[in-house]
This record gives sequence, C-alpha cells and structure tokens, in this order.
Amino acid sequence: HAEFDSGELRFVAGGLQPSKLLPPLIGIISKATGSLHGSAVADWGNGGLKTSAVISPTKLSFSGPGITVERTSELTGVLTFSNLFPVTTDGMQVIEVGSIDFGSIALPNGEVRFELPGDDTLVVEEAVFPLFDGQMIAEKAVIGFDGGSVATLRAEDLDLGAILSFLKVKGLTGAGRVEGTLPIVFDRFAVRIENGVLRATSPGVIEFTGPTAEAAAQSNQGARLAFDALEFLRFSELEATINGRLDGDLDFKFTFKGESEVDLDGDGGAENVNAPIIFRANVEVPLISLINQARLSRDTRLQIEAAREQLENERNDPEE
Amino acid sequence: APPIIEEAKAACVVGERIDGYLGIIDESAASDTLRREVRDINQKRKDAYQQLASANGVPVAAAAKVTAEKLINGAPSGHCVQDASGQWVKKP
Amino acid sequence: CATVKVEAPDKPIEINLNVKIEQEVRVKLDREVEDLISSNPDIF
Repeated sequence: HAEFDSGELRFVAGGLQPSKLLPPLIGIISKATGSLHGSAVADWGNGGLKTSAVISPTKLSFSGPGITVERTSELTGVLTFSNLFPVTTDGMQVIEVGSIDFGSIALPNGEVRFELPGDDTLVVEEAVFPLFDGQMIAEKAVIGFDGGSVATLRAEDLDLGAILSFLKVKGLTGAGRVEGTLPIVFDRFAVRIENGVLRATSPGVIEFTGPTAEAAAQSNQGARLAFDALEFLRFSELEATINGRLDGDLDFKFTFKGESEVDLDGDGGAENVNAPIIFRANVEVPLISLINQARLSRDTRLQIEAAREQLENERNDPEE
Repeated sequence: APPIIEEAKAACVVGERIDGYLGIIDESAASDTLRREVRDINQKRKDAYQQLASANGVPVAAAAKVTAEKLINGAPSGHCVQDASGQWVKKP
Repeated sequence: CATVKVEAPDKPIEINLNVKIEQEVRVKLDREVEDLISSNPDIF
C-alpha cells in the first residue's frame, strides 16, 4: 500500500507537466499551465496493481483532450479517479471550465458533467455554456482522444442579433430569438454539423443594408428584388438548416415567412409596396474559417445567383 | 518517428491518415504503449499544424491535409496509408 | 381612366437567393510543409 500527496503543483509551459507525473496522460493533455493538488493511493494485491486518486485542478489550462479539443482553459473542480492505468474517473465528475476551444468554435464559461471510462474517450453527460445571450447545451457527447467524436448541441433562446454580429457581415443586423439543435460530428477528417436546425421562437427582423448588400444587389434582376426585400424584412417564421464542415464550407438554408417593402415593378420607380414574402436563401460559405480570419467582407468573392419565382397571381391585373 | 512507431508502420498496425494524423489500423495489435505514443505524436502534429497555419493564414485542416499528402506519397512500399475515401491501403 | 395601382399581392412573393462565398485557400505551402517534415523527424 502506498499513498502519495502531491501538495500544490504548478505547471508551466516547458516545465513540470501532468504527463510527466502520470504517463497515461501522454497525448491526452499537454502544454498545461495552472495548478492542481492531488493525492493517490496504490495497492498491490493478488488482483495486481490497484490505483485511485483525487485530483483538484485550479484554473488548469491545457491543449486537448486529444486532438479533438484544441485548448481547454481554466478548468476547476475535484476529480475522483478509480484507476490511473488507464486514466478512469470514478463515475461522473462535475467541473467548471473557462472555455473549451475546438479551433473552429469556442464555448465559454461552461459547467461540464463528464466521465473518462478508460477507453480513450471522454463521455460528456451534460455541458451548459452561455452563448449569444442564451444557452448552448451539449446533451450527449463522446470525445475520442483520437479525433473521432460525436456531440449534440442544443441551442436555447439565442439572440439572433448577437449571432449576426458574431458573423461580422458588414450591414447585416437583426433581432429575434432562435432555438434548435446542432448535431456535431468530429470524425477523423473534419468537424461537421449534420442536419443542424435553428427556428425563430418569436417574430423578428433582418436588416441587410450598406455597400456589401448594394454590391450584391447589382448582379441581376432577381438579386435586386432579393436584396430589396432583405433591406428590412419582418419575419413571423424563420427556419435555418445547417450542414457542412466547421472548418470548410457550411451550407445554410434559410426560409423566412414575413413581409417587406419591395419595389415590385423593378424599374427603380417609387412604387414600393409592403408585400408578403417567402424568402429562401441558400448560403454556402466557409464561415468559421473566415470569421477566424475576419476576412468575410474584404477579399472574398461574393457570387450571387438570384432566382425569382413569380407566383402566378392576379397581382399584375390592373385594377379598375 | 520513434522505433515503436516505425515498426508499427512497417507492420501496418499504424498508418498515415489523410487528415495528417497517425491512425491505428489494427486495434487488437496496438499495445497501450503504442497508443500512448500515437496520441503523443498526434498532439504534437496538431501543434505543428497550428503554427504552420497561422504563419501562412490558412485553416489548420488545410495545413494538415497538405502535409498528409506528402507523408502518404512519401510512405515506403509495404506501409499502409489511407486513400481519399479513408480506406486503409497498402503501398505497392 | 384605368390607373395602375400596384397593390400588395395577396399571395406571398417567393424569392430564392443562392449565395456562394468562396475563399480560395491558396494552399501551396509545398516548401513550408517540406521544411516542417524535415525539421520535426520525431513526429513525422
């Protein structure tokens, strides 16, 4: 029987590292900073070596776990381990974390309930992150240290205006509340959203004005009406489906039902009328990598292909 | 890479993936020590890709992919590598 | 005389907009990747 108490350990880049103390952590967490206090017990019985430990990190930051998560920052909590070879927690653990950064997107100030079953995976039972004035909740997530992981994020009561300002598209603002689910698959090749859905839970507004919008409107007749409508679109319904790679092209399909002041005869005349509109926009954009490099408006080529379907209706018949 | 990795590569227990990381091909033949070494190398590679990416203003995945292509093309015959669809194939 | 008055249509106007924003990732990086591999033999 052997007991070990670490006292207060401080980790610094290039200095003492957790994986030096506990080799099974190699490749799981690296480049750690912050501190922890740990006590471990080891017993050699007929069943071989039995180990357990209680480890209390304080604002511990590290790269990982594995290659799926780029950086975990300021993790604090008390973790109990039923085995150290391999690293296995004693059931579910609860921690506070400053942020979990997946590289393509970072989730701040979370509270995470997770366990390490000892099979090179981290199983998240629930993780709650305040985001866009609402919450992003990871319901079930299995993060494999080798990159293979699945997570389902549920968005609750997010502020559309906050989302649009995060996108940093010049002249694009809005208001409204949205909710939905974003199934994220980190397979070995990419981080993908599969059938993400966001819906408005209240009427709202989309405004798209300014140079980017005007430039987009010039491409052809259909575009002019589309961006005329988008100048100030009041919607009663909004649904967005999201698919694609977080580190590549994301395909957004928006459907708005609402109304907007549009110039119907399209000759630039003053005949604006408030028309009911079903607006479908399919936007394919390497969104996250652009946001990271904040280059959305500067050197990206905006290709607009606007099509306008004219519903056969009596609108064109002149009134007596 | 360290001998344990080179031997595992020669025996097609480990191979180069198209995302720029090492993959375990034969789970049953992979010891804990080998798994640990693969995890360690993959984390160090991710670090290297991040630095390469930010130095050249490209996404991390793009930097990793270009490196993967070079590693896969350069892999000696008899080693196993992933093809574009992610299948493991033995280099002729 | 008949005056043309453009009234709001009772049926909603359907607008379809397709936007594809391309960011050509000029990933040549050949020489940089060669250097990366040769200068890190322990991980490549």
